[in-house]
Amino acid sequence: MFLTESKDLLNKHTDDMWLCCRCSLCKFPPLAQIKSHRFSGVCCSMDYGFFHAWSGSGKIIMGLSLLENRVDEITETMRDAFLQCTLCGACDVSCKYSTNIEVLDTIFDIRRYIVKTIGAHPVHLKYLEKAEEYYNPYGEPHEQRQQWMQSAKAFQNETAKTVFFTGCTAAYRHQDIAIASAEILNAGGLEFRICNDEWCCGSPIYRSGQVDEAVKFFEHNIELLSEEGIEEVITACPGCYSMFVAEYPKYLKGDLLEKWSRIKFRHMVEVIEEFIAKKKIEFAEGPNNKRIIVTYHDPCHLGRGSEPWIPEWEGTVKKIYNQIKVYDPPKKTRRGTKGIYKSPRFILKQLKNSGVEFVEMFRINEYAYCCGSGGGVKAAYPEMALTASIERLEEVEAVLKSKFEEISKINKPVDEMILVSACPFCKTNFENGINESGKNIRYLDINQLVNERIKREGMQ
Amino acid sequence: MNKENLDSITKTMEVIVGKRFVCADPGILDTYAFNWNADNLSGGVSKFANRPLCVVMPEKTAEIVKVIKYCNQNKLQFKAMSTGWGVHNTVGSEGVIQLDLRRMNRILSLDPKNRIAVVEPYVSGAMLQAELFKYKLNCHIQGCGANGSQLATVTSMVGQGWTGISTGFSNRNVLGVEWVMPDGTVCHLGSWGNIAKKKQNDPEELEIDASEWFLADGPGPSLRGAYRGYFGAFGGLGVFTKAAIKLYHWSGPEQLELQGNSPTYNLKGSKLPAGVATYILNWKTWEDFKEAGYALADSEVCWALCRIAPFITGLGIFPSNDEFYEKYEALFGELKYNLMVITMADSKREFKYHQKVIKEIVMKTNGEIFPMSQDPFFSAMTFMAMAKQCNTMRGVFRAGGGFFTSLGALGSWDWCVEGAKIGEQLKQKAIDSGGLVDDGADNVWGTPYEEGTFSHLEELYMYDITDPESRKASVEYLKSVVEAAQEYPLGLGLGTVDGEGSAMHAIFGPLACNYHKWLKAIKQAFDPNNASDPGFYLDPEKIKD
Amino acid sequence: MPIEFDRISELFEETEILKDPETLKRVYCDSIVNNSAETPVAAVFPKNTSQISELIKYLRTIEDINVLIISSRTEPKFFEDTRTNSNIFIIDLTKMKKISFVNKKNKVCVVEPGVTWSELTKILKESGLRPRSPFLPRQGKSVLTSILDREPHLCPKAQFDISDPLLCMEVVFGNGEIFRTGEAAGPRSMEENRQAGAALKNPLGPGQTDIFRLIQGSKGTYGCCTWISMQCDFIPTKRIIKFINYDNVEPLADFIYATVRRRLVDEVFIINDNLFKAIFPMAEGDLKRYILMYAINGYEWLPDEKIEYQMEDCNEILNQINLIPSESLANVQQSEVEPILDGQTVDPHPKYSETTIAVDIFYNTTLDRVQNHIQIVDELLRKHQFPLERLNLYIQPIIQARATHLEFSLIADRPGFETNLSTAYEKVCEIGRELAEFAISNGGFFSRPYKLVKEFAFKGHEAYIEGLRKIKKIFDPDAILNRGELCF
Repeated sequence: MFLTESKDLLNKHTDDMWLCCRCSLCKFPPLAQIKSHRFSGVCCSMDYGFFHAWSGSGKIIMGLSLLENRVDEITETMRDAFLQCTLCGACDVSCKYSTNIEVLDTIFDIRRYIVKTIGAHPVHLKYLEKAEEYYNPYGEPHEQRQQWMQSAKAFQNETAKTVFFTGCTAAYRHQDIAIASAEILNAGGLEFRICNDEWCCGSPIYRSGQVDEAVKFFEHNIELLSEEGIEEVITACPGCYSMFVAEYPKYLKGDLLEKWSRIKFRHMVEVIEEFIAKKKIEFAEGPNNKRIIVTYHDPCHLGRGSEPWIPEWEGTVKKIYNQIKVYDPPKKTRRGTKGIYKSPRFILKQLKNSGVEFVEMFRINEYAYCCGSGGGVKAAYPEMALTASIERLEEVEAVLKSKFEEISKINKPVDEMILVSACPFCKTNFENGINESGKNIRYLDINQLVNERIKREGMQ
Repeated sequence: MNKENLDSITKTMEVIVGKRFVCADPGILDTYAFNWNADNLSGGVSKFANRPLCVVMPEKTAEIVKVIKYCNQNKLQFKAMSTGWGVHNTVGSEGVIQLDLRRMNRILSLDPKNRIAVVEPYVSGAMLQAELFKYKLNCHIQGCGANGSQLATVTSMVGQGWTGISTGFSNRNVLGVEWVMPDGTVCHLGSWGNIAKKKQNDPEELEIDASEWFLADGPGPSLRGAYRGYFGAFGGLGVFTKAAIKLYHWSGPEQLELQGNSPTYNLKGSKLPAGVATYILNWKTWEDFKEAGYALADSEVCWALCRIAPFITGLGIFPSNDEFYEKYEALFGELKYNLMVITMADSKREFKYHQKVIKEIVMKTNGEIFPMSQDPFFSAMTFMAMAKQCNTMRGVFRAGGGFFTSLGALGSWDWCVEGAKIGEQLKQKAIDSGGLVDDGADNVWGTPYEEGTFSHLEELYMYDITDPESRKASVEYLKSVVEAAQEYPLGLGLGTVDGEGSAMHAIFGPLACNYHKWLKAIKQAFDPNNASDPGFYLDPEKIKD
Repeated sequence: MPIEFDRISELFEETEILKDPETLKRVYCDSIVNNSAETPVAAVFPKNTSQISELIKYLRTIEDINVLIISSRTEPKFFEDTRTNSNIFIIDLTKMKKISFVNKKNKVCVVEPGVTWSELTKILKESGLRPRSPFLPRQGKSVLTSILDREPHLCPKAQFDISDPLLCMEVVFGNGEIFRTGEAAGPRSMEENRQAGAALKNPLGPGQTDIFRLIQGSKGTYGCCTWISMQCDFIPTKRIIKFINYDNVEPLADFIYATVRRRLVDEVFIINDNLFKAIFPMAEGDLKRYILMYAINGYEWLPDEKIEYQMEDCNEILNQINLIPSESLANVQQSEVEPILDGQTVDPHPKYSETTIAVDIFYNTTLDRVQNHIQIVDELLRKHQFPLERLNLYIQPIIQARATHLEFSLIADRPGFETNLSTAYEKVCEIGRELAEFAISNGGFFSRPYKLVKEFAFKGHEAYIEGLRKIKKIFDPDAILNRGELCF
């Protein structure tokens, strides 16, 4: 298809494209943090697509190629190179250790350009169709969205100012996460309610590049929350969380932006951390006194992706030393480091006396490896999602086994090796990966892990 | 080339490596045409060099052999790349098959006792180093940083490095190679050669034991001399698929524990490991700097001894240009002719000796220990950056996105400093015209190697790659560098690298014993069909007899 | 076409040409092991490079000529080289004896082919330098030839590359063209560069070849080297030498591994008791089989403190391995060893006497394989009833102890002085060949192949040989240089 669409989305990033020098740092964690040869890659796109085009740099270069009319169509291969990307942001983090290049923003805008030019991926179009009809991309009945609450041993307070935002995946695929979250909130004494007319946060539609369509979902949710007088939103889904804190404000205008700014957004791990710090919950031994080794996977949207939004910079650029640009006022840069990393680790360390041994992986925090399911990849490229999941599970297995051997030497019994994370979407993909690979690992959401160990009356 | 021919070629490639690992899509190919320094080769106009015919991604030596033989039979050209940073990785002309060696990324064997590692092309310095510290070992990492290929630097590129005083120069760090020659013959250089033959017929089934790769030379003359010199062939003389790399003693901890987040990682607690000291030493004159360089090299106390100009030190330390602008002059304004020195000791008495010597040398050469270098935070970050080789990009590319090198001698330290003076003067003119970053003109980087076997200093420069006028200034400056390399007695400077190979040889060959004629003869002998892309090497057709 | 000596006379003075067959035979053929070498047709003694260049250009026109380049004049001769060819023309460089550049600051000097180790040591001493010399170089041995032969030197920590201490060179190729390597090639003249501070330190290039690596090890088959620049060292202001006497190589190897990687010792090597006694006639008493000698040197910067800390660190290592060093051994003091570390030889030389001659088998392996190799060789020698007291061993770690030069010197009876069947020269050569075969099969590598081991050294290196032959065609298109040597 000839490229007749406006190239404004590409033009915006001309400087970023020229600044890329093809150093390939986007394929690895920041160099100082490479701790293992085996687990030295950070880009699940590259690990699937192999060619340079699949890297952060590669996509930027292809953007420049399009901008300069070096290619006159977006082929299916190019489209795949652009879309076989979870938008995890690891490339952005690694690049920004050394440069000023807005890698993720550029890649995302190129994705938007592609969608405008040749249309969204057919699978992603289906998301949109379902979401527009059912307010969730799974096409499940909207009225069943909050049915999970009936199974929870928890109660809501209809007048509470805090909403638990379920999110589509927890609502329709992993109710156990929602249930555990609600039970924890009760245990910690935090009054909450759920919204029956909660729509999809818009993440799957947005991240597939269908931005204009996604904005309607943003607007609805903020309008709803505002009308309900909600002051705080808690969610167990990083996808939703990152949309709220990092993406919504980019597109909401006028009073909607104002309404958004009056709401406090938190992920469940922040809430649990607070509960522990304020001694609102305590832990007992695990079910059947099981002793487990766990490692923690940083969900991209909870880590890199949830660094709060920074308003678009306005000011003057000047050159110093002849040719170095500086900004007045200084430009703030999102580097993915201000996301939520400490809270889950704090929680896991607090569970030590509850029989939980925690060990870190090699690729963690802002340089964690993606599970492979985000950015529309799970639906449109399931093989890639599975490949990424299994790659990550290799690392999980390596560190858990190593810790197991260490513990075995001092004769402490271990009953199970568990991968913990804080994202329903990661859960889906990791469980698929575990099934496919046959690894002896169980996946547990952090809410479930915490919930089964909270000391409650009547417990032994 | 017409579509039919292209299809035939790609189908053949698919049979060799698998359908998934061949691509001829122009958009994808452009990601192989685009590279650092392509703008200088295009007169400042484009960051794209030549587009390959297709990209092929082999996993094994045997696959590479098949591709090469096919190219020879069908009058095609090929060019291999590993980590692929720099325009010398691009194909020299359209119609060349690019071999991307990303899938060949194994550390095949480690011999900690004899300090040898055997690696495939896509093993970077960081990947290898991650497996070495626990054996109290390290590797030489080339100046561009730990993201570069270990194999490529010893076989095909250049190989200066920040820790060269103790870890040598890449050309001299190889103990054996598996070389697929331009005609497809597989040649094992050195001690492993004979054993390889004895073990198996199929090279892919050979079990690699690094302790068997202890010498690259012989029997008789060393063919290392055929495949590279100061620079490598940049892909112009076949493909290297395995290399045995020298490893060096590491006195540091098994793991460097870090704190903080990107971009301000530092050692945990800003604490240097036991036995480590870092310094920035400063002199007011080139002469004192020169004498101190000799003394430090001869003293055998340095783990790193490197000249990194104040400007780049500042860029490397501060996480943003804004912060650099805010703090640089105040913190680094007093630095002039400086050397970064790091000592590493295994015993307290060794540590004590090192520090005494450093202080003695500083005193006797009218130098000073730059006070800020003793600040724990700064000192720890310096060590982290040097140990992990992780800050090069930041130091040279973040300023304006455009960076390259120019003049500089490789030889005695005296000569290097002379070169630095000339480079400074030449660059000042370019700075005065406004197009290049004003880095103070003196921005030489380099080090004495191997306790003083030889040294190098190269004049680095930066420019704004997003500004067409600045790019033009870079192009003009490089032209002046090529002229200066002919005019001044400085040897073959690095600014001549990444030029189109034959063009550079045509200029410099006649000035240097007509080495280009011998290079041509070697190329013709080993590559009679000119199948190995000669773009950054030498094209026999372009060099007159 | 026969040689026209008139043409030779145009290039050389009369005193520089030797044509007398008797003298030629005596000087170049009569050796103590073999007098069957063909007498050369002539020899010339050039004094400069252009003579050599013009000569070679002329000799290319002579059919079947075989040009031999000689730089050493060692007596007695017991070489086993390729003088079985006919029509040999010798370029004798022994009179090119200039040491044209000595630079203390850069620890470098330039030597012509005829300079010997003892000559060089003497000259360098005047400038406070010493050469990086091999172990016990024979009188008359050319420095340049030693270095081109890649003979190991005594200080492994200083050897970053197998080519060390070689830096730049000038060579006349087999086609007569003159070339200089490294920074000596240019741009600009060497003199101009020197004025700018250059000191012939950079061996690499020019450009994208290292022709010096092709010339080194080529045994005169690619070209005639007319000078080299080479690395030197300062003379230590202070030095400690220690001995360790032990009956097994392994712990000695452990000591070398541990110290060399940390750059704690300078010169270090291992010899056996037989060789020790041959070198040091004052040695008395029983000795365990292996003697390791190591030196710690102090230079300009706090030499006493350097030696002190390095000695103590070494002692810690020795404690862990349960080895005990001594300051003397069997009546041999540091003062007796020191000259050897600085390039001097001994007389009589252990490799020959009036009635004996050494058959050397040397190759490269790793230090941790040495003990095993020695044990197997002992068995081999016993099998042939070769007396072990006639075996000299020299173990020299090289390239910072990543590889090792392992040398078995079998002291044979000179022809005409046989005492026993098993020690007769021809028999010992046979044993040597068997030893070489064993070495090859067990990871030994003949980086420096010579006649006795040639048939084994190149086995399995077919592709490599092909490469060498391609180079041969480039540099010596008419194959006039040292035909038959190596794999040519």
